[in-house]
Amino acid sequence: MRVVVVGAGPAGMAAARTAADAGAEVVMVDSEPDAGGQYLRGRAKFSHPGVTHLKNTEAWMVEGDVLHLRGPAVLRFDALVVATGAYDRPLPFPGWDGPGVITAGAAQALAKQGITLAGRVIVSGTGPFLLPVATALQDLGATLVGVYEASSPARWLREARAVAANRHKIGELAGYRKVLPRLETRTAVIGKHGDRVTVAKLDSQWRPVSHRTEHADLVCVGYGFLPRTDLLPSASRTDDFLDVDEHQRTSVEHVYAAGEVTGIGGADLAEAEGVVAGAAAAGHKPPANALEAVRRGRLFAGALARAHAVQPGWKSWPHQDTTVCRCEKVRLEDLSDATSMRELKLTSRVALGRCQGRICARNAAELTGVPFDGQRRVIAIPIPLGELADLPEEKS
Amino acid sequence: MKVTFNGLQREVAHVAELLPGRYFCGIGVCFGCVAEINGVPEVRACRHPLRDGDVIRTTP
Repeated sequence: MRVVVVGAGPAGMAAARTAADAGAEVVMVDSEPDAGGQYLRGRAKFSHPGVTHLKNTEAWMVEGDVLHLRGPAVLRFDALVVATGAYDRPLPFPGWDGPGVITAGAAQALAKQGITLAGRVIVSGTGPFLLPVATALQDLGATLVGVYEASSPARWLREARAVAANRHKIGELAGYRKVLPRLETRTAVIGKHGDRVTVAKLDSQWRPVSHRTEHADLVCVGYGFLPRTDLLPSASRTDDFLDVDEHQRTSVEHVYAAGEVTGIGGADLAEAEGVVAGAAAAGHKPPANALEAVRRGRLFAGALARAHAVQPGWKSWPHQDTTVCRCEKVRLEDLSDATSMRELKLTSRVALGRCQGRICARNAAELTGVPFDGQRRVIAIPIPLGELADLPEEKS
Repeated sequence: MKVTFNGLQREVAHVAELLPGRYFCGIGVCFGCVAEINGVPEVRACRHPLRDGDVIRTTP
């Protein structure tokens, strides 16, 4: 019985350990040089009997019971666990494609390596993840000009049940108390020209109602997260996150998913989902405590998604000449009237560049009103043609 | 780290300092930081741990 796990963050590591302890032969594939994912960034020190950890290895396609890896190489599996995580969603505003604007996740990744890039920084976006990013930057000596949360904290008042079941999450806030005085809600960066940053107060729909100028060298943005679902283009999903059943099974046979690729709920939920997926993938009954942790964590994840949902007023932030697609330099005014994502891509070149729409596709769909049915690519990462040519021929 | 960036000698702690406006997602998703590093084309620079002597070139 061979279980292959893609991703070595909290969910992937938990899935790999649990499947190995259940007696499966486990291979954990990860693109980074060290385990830990974006959350632990090389501080995980992963080692577990029965788990082979393939580092610096990118997976690019699932074909039946085979996972294709860069090299080229193939891994056959009896069960596959996809634990590929998620990445920040940026929203476009004038200047977001210029110097001094990076994602909150990029700022966090740099901070974990001891680097801040700038003296005066702003963090702008939505969701509790902004607070650890701001804290990390401040701890490294940056001047925190502001932490701007686009949503209203009042939205959490409707989520009492989820909060009550996850009291430890409130405790986590205490760790970020140093940055709370700099926190402004219903606020966002909607422009940056040099070090002049336009900061707007927003209404409940995120339409700007007033603005002022602040000075900062670096703006870190993150309006929630987009899942890395590339390996499963045909899997069923909701709001682009992979649908899973109570055993973390996706709609694709023998394929499980765990962690942020199924929804955003934090590292503890990701780890619990990993335990459930690892056990189920190895043909065992998932432990009751992990199932209970997933149930509780999902309540919180649902509340988080509702309280910090991106509101449509952001569509008034970009100007006609603001870049929407960074790779192909497609501006708002270049977006055509289209009825489908495919038509929109072919007429404007939006989402056809190197990132294949990972950054812009969702934003372009919302700006034009075309339906967004999730990101579906046959090949998960760009690979040289030579490598495809080296694939072994199929035996008929 | 002492590196050569587009033919110039630079001393930087992280590749992000060389690529303002291009280093964006920081985790290999946006492909904004793609560069030639030590002769290897199309490398996502954000995923490359910088070492002394690295030669980095961005295509125009």
